[in-house]
Amino acid sequence: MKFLALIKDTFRECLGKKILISYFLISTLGILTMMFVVNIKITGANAVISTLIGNKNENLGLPELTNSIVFAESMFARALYSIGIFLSIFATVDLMPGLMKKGRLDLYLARPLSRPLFLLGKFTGAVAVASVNIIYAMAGFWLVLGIKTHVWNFSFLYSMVVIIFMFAVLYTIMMLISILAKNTAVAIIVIYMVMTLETALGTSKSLFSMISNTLLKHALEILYWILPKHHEVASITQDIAGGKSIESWTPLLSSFLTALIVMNIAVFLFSKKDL
Amino acid sequence: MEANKKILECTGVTKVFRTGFHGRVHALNNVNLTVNSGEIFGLLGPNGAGKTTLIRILLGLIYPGSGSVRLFDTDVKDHRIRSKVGYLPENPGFPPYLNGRQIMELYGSLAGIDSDVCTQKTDELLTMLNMDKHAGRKVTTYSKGMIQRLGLAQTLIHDPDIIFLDEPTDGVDPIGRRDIREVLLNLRKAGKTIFLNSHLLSEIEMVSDSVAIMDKGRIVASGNLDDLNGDSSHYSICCPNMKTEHLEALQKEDVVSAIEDDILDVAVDSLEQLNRVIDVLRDEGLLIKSVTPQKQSLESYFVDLIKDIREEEGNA
Repeated sequence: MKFLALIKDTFRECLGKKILISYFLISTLGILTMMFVVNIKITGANAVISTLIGNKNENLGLPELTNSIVFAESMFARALYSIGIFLSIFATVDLMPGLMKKGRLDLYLARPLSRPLFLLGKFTGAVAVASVNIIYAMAGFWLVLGIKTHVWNFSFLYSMVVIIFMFAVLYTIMMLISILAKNTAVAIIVIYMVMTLETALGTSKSLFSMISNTLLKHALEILYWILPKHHEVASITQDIAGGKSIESWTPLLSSFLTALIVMNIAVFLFSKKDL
Repeated sequence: MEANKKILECTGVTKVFRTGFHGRVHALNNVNLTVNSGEIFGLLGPNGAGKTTLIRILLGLIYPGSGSVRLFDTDVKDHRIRSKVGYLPENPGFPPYLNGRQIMELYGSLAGIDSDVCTQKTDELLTMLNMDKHAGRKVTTYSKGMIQRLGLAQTLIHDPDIIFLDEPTDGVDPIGRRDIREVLLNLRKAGKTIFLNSHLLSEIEMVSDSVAIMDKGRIVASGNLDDLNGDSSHYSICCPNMKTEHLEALQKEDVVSAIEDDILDVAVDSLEQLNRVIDVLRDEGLLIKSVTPQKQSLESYFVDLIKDIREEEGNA
């Protein structure tokens, strides 16, 4: 009950700050755009006239159309991964530092509520808020594409689980920074720095072997394994949405372990810290 | 709850805050404190004395460097004990996106009370504190006084046994203050214990049973309010039409400390001596209108005490 009250409180905060409505409007705008951009006419068993994001294809066969749609959806999934996480971070980054303000946290923690439960409740609340919006956007896109093309690619829907997962992983870092720095600006700088650094390390991983300095090489490798695999999980999201088999689940597993460790550190510090 | 049972015990509490890399501030220094059930306990002290730090330690919001705090015979680190505790901070930071009723509902849920009970208690408390008409408004539109009244209401939502109030009347108008005072007295009547931190000495004096005075992180005086500011040997006797010659008869007793208009101030050793003084005045044909025991106000006691401490520090 206390846990649910914390989740409800986070939703109310997002409603009050007009975060949910902004999310909803941005997603709706995207869905409506999709509705007008995609234009498919099936004229016969194999004859199809389609306009998909500006590319006009006439007399396209139905199997080819299906492949095009699934490919387009996998690209959408990757784009939504980046946009969804960017927007979700932006929308939720102030939730924890906002709580740390004088007199506000006292009113929560003066209740018969353990600090780990409080932190987990607030974490779940933020992830739930992001999930609602990611689900709305992705289900909306999927529905529009399905109605327009008659291609119902369920893999596209599965990919949203990965997007929500990655947001949750990054949010653990935001929580830790908020506890340490009690500052929204610092939290947002650190999280975007982590994402940028991981993308740089992830894309240039193959170059590590060319580094002659052993210390630097190991340091970069360790850093690569410590950071959540934002860049590689984006590729996994795209593959899932495209119905492809996944070569390696390691980036997901590694990110999960990072989140677990970061969350534990956050809970430990929050429990021990004078607030 | 059993009256006069020790419910809060703070032993040897110290707290040092770090400021920067090398700076240290000794906020609390070996604080020992006991609060009994059913009393209103007033905590006084000049700004920066460590009162709010002490309250936050007593609630487990910050941790002491050394020493222990026990509430209801349980270590305050155990969060479950806070089901018996209500708290109003000095500047309550209510979630700005909620209205008064939603705030009561939130804190009620976090205290673990049933939603039906919470609704009923919310109605009762908001009505009691004249906040029922404003319950649907966002707290950002509230005045300081309304915030304090809502703050008091939320401390009571889960029917706690001990209530910590940090400057509860700060920013409240005189009528609101009187209302809050009445609520506190009614709570005491209902057997609740109240830990009151206020810089308004007259207010503490009006409601408290016992007090502690803090200065620079130490408890410099504590005890029953009568013990601190009362001096039963001084009385003011009001005798209309009193003249200097009437006092000659009192020379034998050697009790007169001052005389002004119709008021005679006397310092006596006992009640018997006081009665002898009254007899002498009546024998002189004077009519006695009133006999009032003189009490030093808490404010003058507090000011004198802090002044003495400062002088001692200056001499040292």
